[in-house]
Amino acid sequence: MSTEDLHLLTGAYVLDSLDDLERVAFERHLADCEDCRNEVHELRETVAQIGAAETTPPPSALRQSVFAEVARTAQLPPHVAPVTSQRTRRWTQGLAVAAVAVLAFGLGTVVTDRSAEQTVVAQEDQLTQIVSAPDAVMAAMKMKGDARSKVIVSPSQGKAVMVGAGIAAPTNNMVYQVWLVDDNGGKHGMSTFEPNADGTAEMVVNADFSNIAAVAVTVEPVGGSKQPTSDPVGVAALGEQI
Amino acid sequence: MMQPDRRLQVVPEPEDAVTRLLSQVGRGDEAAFRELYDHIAGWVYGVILRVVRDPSQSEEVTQEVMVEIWRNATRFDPARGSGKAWVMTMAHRRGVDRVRSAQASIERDHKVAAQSVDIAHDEVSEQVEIRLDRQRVRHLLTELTDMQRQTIELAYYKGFSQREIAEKLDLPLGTVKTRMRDGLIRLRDAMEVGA
Repeated sequence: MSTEDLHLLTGAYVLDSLDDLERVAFERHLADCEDCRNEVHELRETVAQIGAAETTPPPSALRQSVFAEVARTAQLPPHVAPVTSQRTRRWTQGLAVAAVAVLAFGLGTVVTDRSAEQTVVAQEDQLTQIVSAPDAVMAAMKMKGDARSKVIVSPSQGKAVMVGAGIAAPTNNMVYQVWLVDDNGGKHGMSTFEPNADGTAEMVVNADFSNIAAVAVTVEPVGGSKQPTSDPVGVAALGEQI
Repeated sequence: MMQPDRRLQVVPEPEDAVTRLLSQVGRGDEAAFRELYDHIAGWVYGVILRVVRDPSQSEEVTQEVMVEIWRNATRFDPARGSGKAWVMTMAHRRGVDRVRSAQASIERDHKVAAQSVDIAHDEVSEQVEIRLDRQRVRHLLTELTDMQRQTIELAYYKGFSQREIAEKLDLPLGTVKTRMRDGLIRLRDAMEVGA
């Protein structure tokens, strides 16, 4: 998609009318385009008025039910030092976790020790490269509830990107963990992640995909596990392309 | 929000109650959350109900969104937009997630197949009920071109993706995205002037 086309997506974006891949591409563009960020900011206010005009009182029992759940729910830690856009920070975090996972599990290519900023730039290039690689295959991940996710794998590059939406925050002290399932059923623990505030998530995984049959996601204690301790909440079979 | 002046304002007032409360909630203030709930529950449930349609599912999604607001309020940054926009972005996204989830979309496809494409005029005229904001928003929507209004309504009220809309309306994708954007820019300008 050309940059000119991306500028026109502000409307569809604030109306939540982009599919997950289009949304990720547009959000990457947003990180670099101040005009689009400003337009998104303004149009979000406009769209909020359209939404708020639908005001309907919820069932009264909901109030107590929400307060009870809030009372036992921990808040997320605030973002540290607003160095750069939120989008870039997420990428940084995602990449750091991915790098740690790759090192810890000794899988695939070891991510080199470039500085965080360089890595982010490289990361964004990587995403474009993965998605546009001639051997890239896309598989839908079947997930529980409202969550949905797609995995795009480029075996020649040894990389995969997972994008998801509608992903519920895990319960306290738990995170999501990515697993690669090889042809013999062996499970290789990869990065852990938490969805963003809006339920979206993006994750790049570096590994040798030549013998990988599926990508799975489980809920694990913070820090991740060496072997899954729960049934997967999502599985994408790489043979079943969409 | 609560002001007697009911003009629809696009530029967020820095001191509006929702933005202020949300910032307090971000510091862990549960009492502020209860107050915030009373300000926003109608907006959140209303927009989710509009998209999801089914009241019990809408209630479930509303509960999820409210708890998400609590969890994520620590990351709310008033410099990046009003509390209202932050809350409504989250609520609408979750409503759309619900209707796009696998099972729901199968059911929906059946219903949509039987539905007329030209729903726009119904959407505008069905609400004889007078809520000032609602009436004004609907009125502003009627002042858009048919194509601007239809694409915005199919996306926002029904949760359709731009590709689905292009298919339904038999329009090129490029036309759909430009009509959405043009329409929202016209709405933004109209709201700034005051309805």
